[in-house]
Amino acid sequence: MATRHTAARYSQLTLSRHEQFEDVIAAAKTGAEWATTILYREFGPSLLRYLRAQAPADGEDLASEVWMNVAGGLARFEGDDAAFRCWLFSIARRRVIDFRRREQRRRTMLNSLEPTGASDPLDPEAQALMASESEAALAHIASLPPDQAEVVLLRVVAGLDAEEVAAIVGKKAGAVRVLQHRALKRLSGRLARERREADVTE
Amino acid sequence: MNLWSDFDCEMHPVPLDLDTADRLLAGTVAPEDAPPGYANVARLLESAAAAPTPGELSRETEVVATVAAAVRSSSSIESGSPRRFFMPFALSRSRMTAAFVALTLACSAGLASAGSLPGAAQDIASAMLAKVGISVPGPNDHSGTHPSVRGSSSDASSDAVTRSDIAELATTTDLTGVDKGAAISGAASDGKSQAGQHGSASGGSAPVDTPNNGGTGTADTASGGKSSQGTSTADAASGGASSAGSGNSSNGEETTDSASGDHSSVGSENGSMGQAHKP
Repeated sequence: MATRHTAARYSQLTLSRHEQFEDVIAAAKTGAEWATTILYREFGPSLLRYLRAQAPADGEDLASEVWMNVAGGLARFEGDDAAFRCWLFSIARRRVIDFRRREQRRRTMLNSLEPTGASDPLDPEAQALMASESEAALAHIASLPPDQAEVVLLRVVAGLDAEEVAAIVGKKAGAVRVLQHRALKRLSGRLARERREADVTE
Repeated sequence: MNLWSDFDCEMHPVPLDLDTADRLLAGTVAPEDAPPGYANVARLLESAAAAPTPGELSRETEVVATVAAAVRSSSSIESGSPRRFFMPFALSRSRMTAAFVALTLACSAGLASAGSLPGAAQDIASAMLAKVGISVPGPNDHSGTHPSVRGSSSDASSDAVTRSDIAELATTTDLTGVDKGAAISGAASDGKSQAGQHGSASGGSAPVDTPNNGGTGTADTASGGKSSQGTSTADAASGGASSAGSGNSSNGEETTDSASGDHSSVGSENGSMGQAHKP
């Protein structure tokens, strides 16, 4: 399996300190806080990053919604950590879709013509929230076309492979690979243009 | 419109194959090993997947406590049976459908075993249940030929013929009074009618004292003389066509005939009480 980027690998209390993921899940199903803490540290940061990339101002609230959904369905969950990761980000994706629908309705009510979806890099709120290098990178990714941005975020931030992403977004793995390929070409072109502009300015 | 145009992509001279793109996203290609033009992309992807910041774990205590409490709460609810007991609609649709079908079959079988179904249905149920070794009664005698014809329109056509025969009999027979009524009723009921066999019509008297011949006078007396006036008025208004207060009430037999005219189709029923017909 491909090396995962997930930020949670850097947390001090991770799954690697426990023998079996199944033990953690079994304890989490009983409401054991130590097990829930492990799950949160393992998956929480990447989940939050994924959500904040798509809804900068509401990422925290969406993450809370996702975790509550996890709490509600944990008793029925069966599988390993990869399955848990897929399940978690499937929930997260649905929450993002719901969020965008709500935003769409709200903007329609306000008769606003602003586009919804991925964050606008020029949005001051987004810029403030994504001050760090990491968040600036997420802003770049989020400015891709929505389907490409979603695929890249799930691949890079969530640490899923192409097949897992395909299962979550409801596409074939080949279609996901094409999307991510186009996304990287766009990113490359964008960064090259920024460099040229920076050189001219200097 | 997105900030990035296709022109940006076309500017990049280095082709990127799908596998390399996949490895870049998987984090297995270091920036220095990336294809020309993609080193910055590799660095950007590394930054996106960097270690979590303290802010990203700042709500750990709150979230963990909430989630753990919610899990304990939901598990305690699920461990007890009341949830299932108080949520009958939590049954899946397929289970509800199966229960409905089972209930319908049970009810049908019960009615069939009691012989309470309509003739054709009882016949079908009897035949079907006999195949699975369950013996239920067949249709009773009152069902007639229905079981054997099962929805055939021949019943309707035969009924139509019978009705036309009865109508013809009612309009063409030379019989009058009780005899006419009995004949028509007998034909309509396939001989089962007992019309005309009870009471006596030969005596010209109804079971009650009916003033057939004195109707006008009785009405006149009862109305204080206004009945005669009404008759005259009706006669004048109709140009003599009115027969009010005339011999219509002279006797019951004539009343039956004149009331039905040449188009009587109800003689089968009324005829059985022909003599008792009152003006």
